[in-house]
Amino acid sequence: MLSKLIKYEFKATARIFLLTYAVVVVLAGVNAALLSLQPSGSSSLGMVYAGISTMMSLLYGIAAFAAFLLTIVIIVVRFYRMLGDEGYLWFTLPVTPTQQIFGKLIPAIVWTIVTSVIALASVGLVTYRVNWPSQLGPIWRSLASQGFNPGVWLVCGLVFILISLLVNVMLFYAAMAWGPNLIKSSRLGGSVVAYIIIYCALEVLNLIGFLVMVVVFSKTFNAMQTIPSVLTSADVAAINQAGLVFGGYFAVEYLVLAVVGFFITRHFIGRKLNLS
Amino acid sequence: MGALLQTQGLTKQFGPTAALDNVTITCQTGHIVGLLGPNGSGKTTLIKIVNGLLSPTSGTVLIDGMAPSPATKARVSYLPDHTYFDNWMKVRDCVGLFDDFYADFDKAKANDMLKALGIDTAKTFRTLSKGTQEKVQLALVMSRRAQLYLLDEPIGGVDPAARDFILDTIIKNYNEDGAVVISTHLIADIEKVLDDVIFLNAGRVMHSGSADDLREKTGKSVDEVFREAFKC
Repeated sequence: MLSKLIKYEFKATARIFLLTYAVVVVLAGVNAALLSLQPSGSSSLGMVYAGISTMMSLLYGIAAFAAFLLTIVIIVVRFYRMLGDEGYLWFTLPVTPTQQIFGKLIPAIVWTIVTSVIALASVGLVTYRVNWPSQLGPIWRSLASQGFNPGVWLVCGLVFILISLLVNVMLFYAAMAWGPNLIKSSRLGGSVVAYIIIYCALEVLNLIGFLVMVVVFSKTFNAMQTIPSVLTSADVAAINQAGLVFGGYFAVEYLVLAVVGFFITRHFIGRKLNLS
Repeated sequence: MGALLQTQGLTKQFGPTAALDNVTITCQTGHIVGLLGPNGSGKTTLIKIVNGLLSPTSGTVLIDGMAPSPATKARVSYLPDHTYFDNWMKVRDCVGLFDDFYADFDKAKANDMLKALGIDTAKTFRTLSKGTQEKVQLALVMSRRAQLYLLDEPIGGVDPAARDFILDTIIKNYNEDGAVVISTHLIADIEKVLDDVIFLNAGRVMHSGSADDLREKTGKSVDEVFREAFKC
């Protein structure tokens, strides 16, 4: 049943996402073409060309930003609508609340990843003349020569971004599921208030974690200010350790919060559902 | 014949207002039950609780001996009082969705009914007229071989000719090993098909029993009894 829910969620959202991606890629292509055909000299034609190029660059930037904004809006709206009129369909299907949640969550995560990949690919298209390996290679090698492992840091960073994404989507869901029970007269108002409460709690936890880490790793933070010129091997080891503990702490915190968000959502849509 | 649907002391509060107040009813297998009451009497609230769309404040609901759950949803075919399909869906997607999720759905029967109604399955659901949307939903709901059909105001928003079609569809297509609960305040139109009636008023059960017994006891039609009971 979960695979069927996912299939319908993708069907419902594919059109708008694919259209958005097409706009971003086309604008990236136009910008790449404009850059490659740029006339030399400072003729009036050149000035017009520069004006058009600037406008197209701006449009591309807006489109790329809008793609991310749209992703967030669609993730929220899809779940919110399930708790409204569409709930009469989805909540009368023979599926469990857990399946309902994952039926929305998995496509939301996939679309966010695809949006990020499309955005990165479009940047690559616009800057196709830039040899990124030769640009980034020296930085990578410099970090490696100082005892860091950039590959490990990159993978850890990507995993952390994924966990952050998971917790953010889950907390949106929890707020929307809890909201109607918080303010019975206004589903939207209740959802907003619930999200503010959840967000504040998240920020307090983040602050506490951050302060603890700063105290524990104060010496390391001082060493980090000297990057990249005079790091000792002990500094590098300390920075690696700090990064691991720092990232590990927040990764665990976010995973725990995602699980809490899941149980809050499941509780309210499973036991306290009150469709208006 | 056993009790397919039972509620015991069912109460639902919306703030200080009791939408349902200690409602205890039973629906038997094989019966068509009229859930009758004026607007705001609690009919929709009761049906939504049975479907698990609302949580009761107190009391219990049992469908074939089970509390509302995915297992009961596989047995219940529900027609809500408004449309619920997503904007992107064509009629054939709606058929496909029912076919995907309900094991008791008869796709061929649904397509035959839609064809008989002259509904183009390639059309987007939202572009159909309200009456046609309701007919599509009814065709889908009645194409299931469910144990319990819960039909909330199926004839509420349609013209008299469409009412006849809807009632005819219900009578011809429901699973006779199941039960049908029809909620309405338009009693004259459905009286002829009812085995049992439940009168609801202000969230309370005023009367529950056989339609024939009621007619015999009062010497009046159910519609006349209803009009007298709920006279303004």
